[in-house]
Amino acid sequence: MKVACLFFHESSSQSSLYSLAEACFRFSPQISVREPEAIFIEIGKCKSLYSDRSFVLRAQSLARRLGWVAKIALSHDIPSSLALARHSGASGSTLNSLPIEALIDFADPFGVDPLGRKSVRVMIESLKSLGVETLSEFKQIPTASLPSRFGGLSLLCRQRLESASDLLWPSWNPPEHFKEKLELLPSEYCSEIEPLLFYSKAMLDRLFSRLRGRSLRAERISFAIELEKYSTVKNPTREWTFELITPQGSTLGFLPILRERLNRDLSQAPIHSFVHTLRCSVLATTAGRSTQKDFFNNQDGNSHLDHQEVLGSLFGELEEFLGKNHVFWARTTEERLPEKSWVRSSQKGAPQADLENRYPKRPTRIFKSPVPVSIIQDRILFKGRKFKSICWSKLERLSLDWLNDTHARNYYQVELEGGRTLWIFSDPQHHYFVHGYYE
Amino acid sequence: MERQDRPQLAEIREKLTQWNGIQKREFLNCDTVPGGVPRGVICEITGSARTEWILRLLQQNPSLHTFWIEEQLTILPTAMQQRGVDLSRVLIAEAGDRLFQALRKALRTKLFECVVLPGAIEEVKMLKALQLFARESNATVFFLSKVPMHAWAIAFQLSADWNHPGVHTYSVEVIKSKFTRSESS
Repeated sequence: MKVACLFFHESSSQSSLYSLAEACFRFSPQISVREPEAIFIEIGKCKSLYSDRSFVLRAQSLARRLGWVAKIALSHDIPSSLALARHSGASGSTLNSLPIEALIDFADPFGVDPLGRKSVRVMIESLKSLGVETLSEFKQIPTASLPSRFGGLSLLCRQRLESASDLLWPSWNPPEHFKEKLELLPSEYCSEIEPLLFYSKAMLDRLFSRLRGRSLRAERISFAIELEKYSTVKNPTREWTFELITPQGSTLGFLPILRERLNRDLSQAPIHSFVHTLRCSVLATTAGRSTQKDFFNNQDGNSHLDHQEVLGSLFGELEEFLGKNHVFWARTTEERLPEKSWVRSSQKGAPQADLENRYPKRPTRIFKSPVPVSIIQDRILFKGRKFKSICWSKLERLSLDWLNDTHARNYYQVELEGGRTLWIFSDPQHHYFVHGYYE
Repeated sequence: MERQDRPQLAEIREKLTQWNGIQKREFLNCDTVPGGVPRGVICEITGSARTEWILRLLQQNPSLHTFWIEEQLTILPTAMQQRGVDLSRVLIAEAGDRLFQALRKALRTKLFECVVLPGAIEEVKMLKALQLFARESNATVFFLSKVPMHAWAIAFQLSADWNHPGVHTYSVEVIKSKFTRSESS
């Protein structure tokens, strides 16, 4: 058994500590929290995944990202890891050299027994008056004499000092809802997009770290800002919901989408007062990448899922920027009419129709609406210019079914002098139109 | 030192490339261009069969992820599939007047090895920015222009024209090429 203790001197809100604890699920599934200052992680069974040193670096980096400065100690049980994290000054401190005050952490490692801690403090005072200053000196006192001289708690402390690996971990279940809130200080109040995004990033980092810890990705996200209630502000809460085409598992993927949406909406309806609170919640999740790197499905250092996620992020960003349906993957259909032969799809890899030998090669370029032309013998009058036609292909008749009130069209490939080829059709009234060209 | 013992220019270049940690220039396969089309540069394709040529290039390089962007969409995806292009690898965008911004966003992600634009960008500043983006993401940016443009940022120019009427073939002529496969390797 090996326990890592992440200890924080500066206590912050409990929700943040829980956020960090949830994010730590990426390291191990066995986690316990001591309010409001420590997180315990059992890492003994994960030694094949990371070394002690790499764990410490990763945990410190994660804590920093969520706004914490953690002191990390590794030991064989919970009380000793907590005592080491709390009391060790320089690196290299051993358990025996810790001050006698560390006994409190052995008596009540989870911080749930205030009366017991009070008794231990009295015991520590007695020990100090007898000249016992460190844990090694405490260990030299004969075990048999401890209960009679210092009470039953001293024996418990001694036993846990020897070994506390059998200590039961109190159960801690992370919250089911992924919600984060950031209340800005009055000096941080803002009304512009860039500062808003700057503060949002910290909140989103927390949210996505929690998701990552649980191996989840966000499918639908709600983002809200609360404004100061000026008399001119009709709606003090502005909220946006994001339906993500590809579920996102990192701030890096979601932030550009958020930026584009805020850019668009706030330019149409600007903020007329200051933002004092930001809220973000995940409304729907889907299974995400594993908490560990995917070594097997790896292309150029990025797994297939990472690639999909970046693509989904770009798709969402472009969709917000250009408008819905302005960025797409094309999916061909069974229809023969050129305008109905394909549809715009937001799903990559949608099944395509089999077009092989189905009909003649279509022109590469097509006009949005057909352009009328005049045909006089072998001359074609098109956009005010005359072209000489060399050869007309065989007729290809395209018609819809009888339910649709669309006229049949007779299509021809018309080769012009100079090598160009137009795609021309005639309607039942013998009007000719250019629908596309081979480029 | 004897003359034949002296290292050849190509060898020196290769050594310098290795020392400086510079990657060798990669090329896209193309049967109509001996040596291939360089990657990470701006290429301009002109002529009456320019779209056919680029579709053939995409067909011959099926692993490429392509970003096809136009102001007003005129390309027919059905025709792309008929010419052997895998449509699941082509992300299409109809950008209107926001073409350059959308293009920049796409290149920044480094997801695409090939980007196709309907025409050349004439503003020098934008062209230079595009060249840098192309180099950073190792993506080839294709301009499908009507007439060739004289700009130093364009590293490769090619003209694809339909042959005489009645024959559905086109001829290809390389107008300008700053890189060749033999020179770089």
